[in-house]
Amino acid sequence: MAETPWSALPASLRRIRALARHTLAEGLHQRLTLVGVLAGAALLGGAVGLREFNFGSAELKFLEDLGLGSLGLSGTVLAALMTPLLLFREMESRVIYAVLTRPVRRWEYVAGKLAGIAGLLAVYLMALSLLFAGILMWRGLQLGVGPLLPRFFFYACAMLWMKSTLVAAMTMLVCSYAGSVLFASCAGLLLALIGQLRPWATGGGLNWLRAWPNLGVFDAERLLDPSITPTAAWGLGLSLYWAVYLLLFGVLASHGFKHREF
Amino acid sequence: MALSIANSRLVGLGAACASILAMATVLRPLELILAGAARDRSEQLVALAGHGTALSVLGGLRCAVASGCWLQANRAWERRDATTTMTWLELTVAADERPVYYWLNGARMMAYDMPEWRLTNSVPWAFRRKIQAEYAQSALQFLAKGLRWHGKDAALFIEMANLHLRRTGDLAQAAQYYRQAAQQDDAPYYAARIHAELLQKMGRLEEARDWLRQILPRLPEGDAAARKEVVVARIQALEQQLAAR
Repeated sequence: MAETPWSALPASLRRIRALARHTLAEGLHQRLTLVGVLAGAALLGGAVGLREFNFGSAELKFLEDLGLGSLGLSGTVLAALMTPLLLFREMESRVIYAVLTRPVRRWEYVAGKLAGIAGLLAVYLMALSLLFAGILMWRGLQLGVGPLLPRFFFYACAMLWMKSTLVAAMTMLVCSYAGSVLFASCAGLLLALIGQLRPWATGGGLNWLRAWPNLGVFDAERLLDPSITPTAAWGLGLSLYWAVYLLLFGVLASHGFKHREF
Repeated sequence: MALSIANSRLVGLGAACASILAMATVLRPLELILAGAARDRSEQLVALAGHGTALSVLGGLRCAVASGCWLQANRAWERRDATTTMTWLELTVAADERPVYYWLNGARMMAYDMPEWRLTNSVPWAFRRKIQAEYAQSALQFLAKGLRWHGKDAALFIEMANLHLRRTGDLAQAAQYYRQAAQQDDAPYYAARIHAELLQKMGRLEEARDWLRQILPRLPEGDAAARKEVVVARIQALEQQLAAR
């Protein structure tokens, strides 16, 4: 009996889930993840140490700003480094041949990898966010001031996760063409930088950057601005923007991967 | 064979670029809504370029970078090094344009401290005025940049008005900036009163009276800072002066 697209979907999802679980487990065992967590925690700890040096704003706002910035930066770097590392390691160890000789389509492999990395980034950001929330609560209690509202904090962490997964998808696209981890990592970081430069590209010679997704819309520091109130419509729009680009990069990476020779 | 593989990869890359470009065009309206009314920040990026701070700022560590630059500006200020202080002040606000604190205190350093570093007690008065006016202009330009980067803020307008009042002696400009300050949402009540006071000083009594009449209905009753009774008394005094003409 011929397999229709709808009957094949549950099987595809099962394969993607298995690949994602494997990628997540592999990612959690990487030394880079541990280094990332330690670096992120050090940056957050550094924010506490640097609180004496805040001049322009209130201490808690400074902590929130610096902490969210540290989370965003470390999440982006981890996404750009971990994606090629996990992919190329499978190629070097030839595990990929064992996977692709089974009835696993290449797009399923890319989707599974991306889902696994997204899960890894979620675990990473959740762990650091909890630490950050603890720091904010501790200082808030000491100062007798209420820290960032939990709703805003949730939005901020979700935005950072979206940003880092988008960076992972961009890097995955590069990986589908690249020949080395170093090249793919550097290109991933460069693409993330271009995306981060987008909010600045409103004139002059930077207009060409508009062709690239604007990672600035995922900057959680925007939530610290009292004039900005995140509404449900805004969150929906942001999710749509993220999903469309994630899908686009995922499809392009699958296409590149499909035509790649191993 | 190799050529055909290379060609197909090139076609694939071209198609990928074209689809990203097409998607960027389609999603542009949504992006504009999400990004809000984005200001042109390319000037800030240019100011930061080449100082090793741009990457940190892009990475979201703006307040930390700005605090570091502010600290360096203060160290240069302690050494009375005007050029270095100005450079660090520019970097501070380029890194983080949001705190008004940097704009106000930076402008005050330029307008009130820096001229004194160049002047001694023995310099002629005319030369003193010239140097003070030069630095006041730098401070005013700095604050004008603040209005562009940070956005309109009553505190910035008031600082510009004070500079005109104390340094350039341009009452008309000072009055104009106090008026602009009074028109902002976060304006203190005294900005509107000083605007009227300056108009009065320049002999523009009718304008001063009309302005005070205009602001009077918006002053709250129970707020001591609003000083409604003072405004009423001034309107009456102005009316008497105008009647006596």
